[in-house]
Amino acid sequence: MSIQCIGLNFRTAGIDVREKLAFSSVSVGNDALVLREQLGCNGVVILSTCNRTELYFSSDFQLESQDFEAFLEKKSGAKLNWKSFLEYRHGEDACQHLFRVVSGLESMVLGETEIFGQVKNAYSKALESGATDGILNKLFQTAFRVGKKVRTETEITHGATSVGSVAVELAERIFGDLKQTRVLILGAGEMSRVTAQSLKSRGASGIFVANRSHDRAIKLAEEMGGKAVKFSEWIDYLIDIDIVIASTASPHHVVSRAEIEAIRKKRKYRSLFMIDIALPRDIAPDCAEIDEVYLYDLDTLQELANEGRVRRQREVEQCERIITNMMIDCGEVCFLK
Amino acid sequence: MSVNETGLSLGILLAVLASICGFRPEWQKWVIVAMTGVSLALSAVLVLQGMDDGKCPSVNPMGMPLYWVWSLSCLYLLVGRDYRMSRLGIWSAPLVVIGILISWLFPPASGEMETVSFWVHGYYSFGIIALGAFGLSFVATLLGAVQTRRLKRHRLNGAIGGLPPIRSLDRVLRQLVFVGFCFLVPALVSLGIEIWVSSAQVVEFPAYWVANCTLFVLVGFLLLVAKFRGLSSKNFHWSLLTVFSIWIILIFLGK
Repeated sequence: MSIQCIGLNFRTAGIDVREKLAFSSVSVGNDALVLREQLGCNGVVILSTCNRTELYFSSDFQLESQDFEAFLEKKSGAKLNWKSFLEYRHGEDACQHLFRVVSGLESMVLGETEIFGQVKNAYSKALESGATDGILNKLFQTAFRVGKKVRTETEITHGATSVGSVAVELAERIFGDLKQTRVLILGAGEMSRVTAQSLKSRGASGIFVANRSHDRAIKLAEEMGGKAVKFSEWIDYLIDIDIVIASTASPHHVVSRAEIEAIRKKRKYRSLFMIDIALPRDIAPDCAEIDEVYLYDLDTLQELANEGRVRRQREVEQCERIITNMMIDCGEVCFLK
Repeated sequence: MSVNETGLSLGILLAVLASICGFRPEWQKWVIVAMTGVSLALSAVLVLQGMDDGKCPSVNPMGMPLYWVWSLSCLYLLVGRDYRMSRLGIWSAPLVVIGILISWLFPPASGEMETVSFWVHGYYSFGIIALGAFGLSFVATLLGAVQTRRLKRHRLNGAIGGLPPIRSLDRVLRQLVFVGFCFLVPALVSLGIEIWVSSAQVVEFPAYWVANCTLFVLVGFLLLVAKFRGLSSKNFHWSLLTVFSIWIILIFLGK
């Protein structure tokens, strides 16, 4: 009996191929059952996320690549050279790969935790539909233990790695809970939208958008569930704002120190987190000299994101040590060839 | 080892554990548990001391540090329930250890305790709880000052990690200072009555009474300014540190 894994991911296939092989999270359990019947194996779990689609099998015989390819062609409706996109793993290699996936070591953003929930969901769907067997059950239970151990015993999940997540981390260090925070977006660009979205996903309420083109401000405000304000009036709103994201295309500073100084008293000197992701910069650098202003520009945010990535990279060795130890512990499953 | 010593040892052990919990993020949830243990151990010791002496431990000269760290640990339980603020305990625990060690290493000689009036009793009891609140707010002030500086200088990582958010620290800090101020009111009222009652005999008041009155006035002024004018976190931290420094200088000048 052997464990086998076949799949593609963001490293082996572009989004145009990955999207053809994406499984719906609703039907993934039934799809696993169908595949099990079709291939005549003992158990199947289908893991389908935006970055990877992987099928885990336990079977008494070695599955051949042509068995899958027929299934993939039928599923995707496309005749592609699947061999060039797919990765095949057997036995120990397949187990180790699953442990790495669940620990976030194979993720696009190293150490991200979302994958843990996605694997858990894929497994529970397959379990509910009766597509798993004892071997796969044991393998996935062990994988979840590995994922938990890696997260708690290493710092692989620590430190933000993108501009958006750095902004969220900083905002949380200043304000704690973001539920009561209000965000003002100056300039309806893509970067400010992504950053504001990150803050909103952590509970930031009251999103205000000001843009020279008011129509674009209205569009972004609708998308974010916020309110569009006239560009000439944004300073009035700043009194109640906690976070400012500036990314206009203005060739000169949009926010000056004098403007902030003028409303400090009305703001009762509350903390103001200013994120300047415009080039050239929108917020005058001397605003940072005001006591309650925390000003971060694009370079600083990117530098912090890089620091986070390096920090996570340093933890990989420790994570791999945990995985190797767990491989030994679950040898009876993993070493079946 | 007597019951008292067992309680004090337990208090020290738990306070050390609370500090150690700061080394790893996943241990930090145990800080509140360790500090609850400290609070319970110290409560037991204070009750036993009070029963032995037949007096409130607040009027026992060498019991004061113990009473002070007890009030500090109890107040911490009020603010440390929030996970983010529970980290305040990591940094308050060393103060608790010092307080316990002082009262353990310098116990009062038997028969040393003088009889004090009801009003002096009230002054000590309320005053020390107020000082417990100020002690904890002192820790919060230091943490707030460090966190503000780090964020202003764009330093997210470093040796001192896991500090509470600035706004949470600020809120708790202002609450603690207010609580301390509120406890100073009955303390100073008791002091005033004592002075009035014994005005015939009193020639000179102890320096720490003057220091506490100054502390009351300065903290009251600071709270009023923060409430009506508003103060940035940085200014509030530094003003408070200045007030505490003035209080300590006045205490030492009096000695």
